[in-house]
Amino acid sequence: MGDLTDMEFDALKEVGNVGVGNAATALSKFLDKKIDIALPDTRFVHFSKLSEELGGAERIVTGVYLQLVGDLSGEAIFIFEQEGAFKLIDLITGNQVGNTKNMTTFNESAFKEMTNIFTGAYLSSLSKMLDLTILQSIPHMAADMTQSILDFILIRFSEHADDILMIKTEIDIQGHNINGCFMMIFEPDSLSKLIDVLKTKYGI
Amino acid sequence: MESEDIIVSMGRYAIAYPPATLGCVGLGSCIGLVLYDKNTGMAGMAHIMLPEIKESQPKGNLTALIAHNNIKMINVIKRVMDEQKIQMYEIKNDLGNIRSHAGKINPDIMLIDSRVDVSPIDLMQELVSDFRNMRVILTNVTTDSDMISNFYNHGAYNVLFNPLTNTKIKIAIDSAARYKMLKYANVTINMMLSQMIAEGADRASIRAKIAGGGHMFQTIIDSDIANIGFNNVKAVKKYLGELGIPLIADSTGGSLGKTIKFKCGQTKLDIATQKWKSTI
Repeated sequence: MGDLTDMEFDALKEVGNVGVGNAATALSKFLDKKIDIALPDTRFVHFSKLSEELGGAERIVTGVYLQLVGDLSGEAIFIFEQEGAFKLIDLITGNQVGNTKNMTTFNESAFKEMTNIFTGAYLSSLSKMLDLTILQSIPHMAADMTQSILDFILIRFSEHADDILMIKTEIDIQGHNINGCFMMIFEPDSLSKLIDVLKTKYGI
Repeated sequence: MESEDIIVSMGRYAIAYPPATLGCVGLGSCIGLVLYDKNTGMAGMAHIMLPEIKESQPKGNLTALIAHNNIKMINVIKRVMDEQKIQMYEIKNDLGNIRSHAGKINPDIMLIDSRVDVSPIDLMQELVSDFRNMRVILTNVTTDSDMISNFYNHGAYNVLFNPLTNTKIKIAIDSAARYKMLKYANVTINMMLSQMIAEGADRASIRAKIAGGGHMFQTIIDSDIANIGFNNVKAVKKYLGELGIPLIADSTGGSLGKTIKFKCGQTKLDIATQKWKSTI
């Protein structure tokens, strides 16, 4: 991996881009707020550098992990700085921002619901574009140093490849200084399958 | 982490002397292993990801570039390269030569004498940014150099201390050739221990401390994921046992990310989580 042709790489970037609009709309509707989502940053990154890409290895963050299953396998993870996660929960529950100060079971559910909606909308666009079925597992949450919550993903990935194709989408909620990111990675076999599908469907 | 700490990233190890501090950041399911020798003050830290790999010979044709000004060991180096089937090139140890040949050859492994005519740190940063996968081995470093952490943190793959010996060269080149396998406990523990002994550590005085091997997402019950940390702990303890290295302290398991620090020359391992700090 890492030796894709320019056309293959551009096609993969397109795949990442396709989901964003739908996910942004879904999130915006869910929160009743304007959402800023830039096009994803799609790049190969060495596994040892991934936590730096997501804001720093030691930063304490709220992470939500979903496994991607079906015709393609992979992982999705949301990384939000803790204060931002609490503010987001306030928006979801319709409370005054600044109200939530810790992660209760209820708050956790609310946050996970957001991740479900975002991921679901993203994958539904991908599935349509590729004519494949890609589904998400239930979300799992952990709050700790970025490196520690990523490391099991990197460990499993590194058994097959050292460079990860990272599809990273920054999520910014207008007017509230809440920023997080959503990252998707596909397992090496699925990445190859994805490229084959793109070749067949779109003749790249 | 303070700027003088050597941060050992995933799938790597580093060996250092006082006044350096070795550290691993954010251990989740990974294991941070420190081996230390009270007599010499030398310590090694490894950031281990997986239990074991059976087949561990490097694949593919590797190239190496040796920059030196009449290094005494050149014949040993040539022999080791030959045994490892690594294509080797020799050039003079100055910036101009290093730059131009690195560009032309794009070697997998580079050996540079730290007495090169420019700051070795600037040189390494340049090489590492231009050639992301190149492993740079620095030779002729003094054990009391307060630049050790700078060398590592600016991209050196391995640092060989004076005096340079056959064994040190063999191990460093082997480690650089097999660098993708250092994520496995069996490979890295053996490699790091061999290098420490080649550097003069007294085998019988070496002790171990470990931390990490947790499971961060407690709601994930799929054993493929939930047992990664546990399997790593089991493997590290097994290999330490087989090698006869006493495990003095252990802060493993649980669901908190850990940052560990070990100051070379003493024996305490500092552990910090988001909830507590402790020393084992």
